[in-house]
Amino acid sequence: MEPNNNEREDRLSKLPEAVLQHILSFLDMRIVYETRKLSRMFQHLWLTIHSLHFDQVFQASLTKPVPVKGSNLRFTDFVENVLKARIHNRDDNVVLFHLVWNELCDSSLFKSFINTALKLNVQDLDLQFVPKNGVFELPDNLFTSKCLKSFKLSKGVGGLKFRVHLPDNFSLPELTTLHLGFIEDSFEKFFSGCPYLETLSLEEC
Amino acid sequence: MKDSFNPSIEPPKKTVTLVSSDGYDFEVEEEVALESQVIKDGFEDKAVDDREYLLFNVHSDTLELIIKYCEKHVSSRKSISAAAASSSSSNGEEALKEWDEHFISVDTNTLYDILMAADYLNIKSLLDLAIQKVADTIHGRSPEQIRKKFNIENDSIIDPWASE
Repeated sequence: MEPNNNEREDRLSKLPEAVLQHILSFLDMRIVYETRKLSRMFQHLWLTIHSLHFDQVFQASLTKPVPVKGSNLRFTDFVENVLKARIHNRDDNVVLFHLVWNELCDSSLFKSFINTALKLNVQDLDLQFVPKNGVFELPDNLFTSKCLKSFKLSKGVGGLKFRVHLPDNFSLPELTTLHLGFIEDSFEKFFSGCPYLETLSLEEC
Repeated sequence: MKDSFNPSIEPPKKTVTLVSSDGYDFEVEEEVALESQVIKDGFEDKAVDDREYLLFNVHSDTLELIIKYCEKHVSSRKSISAAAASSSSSNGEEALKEWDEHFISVDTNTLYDILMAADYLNIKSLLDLAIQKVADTIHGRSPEQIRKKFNIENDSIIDPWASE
């Protein structure tokens, strides 16, 4: 049976921009990045979405039948470049930054990613990683963010429990959700600086 | 008023009329209509006999599906919280998830209709369900496959990242 005209119509491109951004925000950034090749309309859309998911495990699993120039960017370069592009565009509407990094990660690089995400006024930080030497440092401005509403910190698959250097003073006036996983040292400090914490979940702490 | 308190008579269910873009009236229970944030906003300010909504861009075929979804979610929520209250075990949420999955397994055109209606009526859970479905379709496909799947015309003049 021949498909009728209706079925051949490109309804995706006709969706309102906000809905398209919403669709893309459900996908890993690597997939989102590829959508720029679809058409002119999609060329810049990937730069405007509010939720950024970077999953190193997923991205490593992507097999590319046809090698495309620029597609063999390293995971870390990719994260860095996307974040830089957002800063460059003077964007400050990144709502969610979700980073899964399962290789032993470079602490200073990781720290700089979080730092950049905070500059973009991120509200929801979700981090899973395997720190190199079992100790992890977070950037100081994480603990004074006026935007952060949700913070999740846990180990990546295969990692061990780790320690986190926490500053003495906390002020996270907007934080309502906190999830901590596989952290060895005490984290009670968190509670004093988060007056509006509503949901707390702990995993193997 | 004395008459109004008579336990033997069930109060009549409050209803709202939804009018589809092709002119059909759908009478639904108030709590079902209130699944839509757009209807919910300002609902209390509307006079009881004025609770009629002309949904100028939702066709009756789509509206029927939307109502079915909202009715299911209202009733499931009730039975899930009832089960929780009596602390009896229930797989209500699991069953609802399955129902959702089945509900959204529709042809592409219907999916867009549901998506647009959920966006317009601001029914967050339904919008997320429809959007997830579209996102799943994009996931794992090359740009060329996506273009084909969604009938997107490649009108890029210059592709700065194109392979040489």
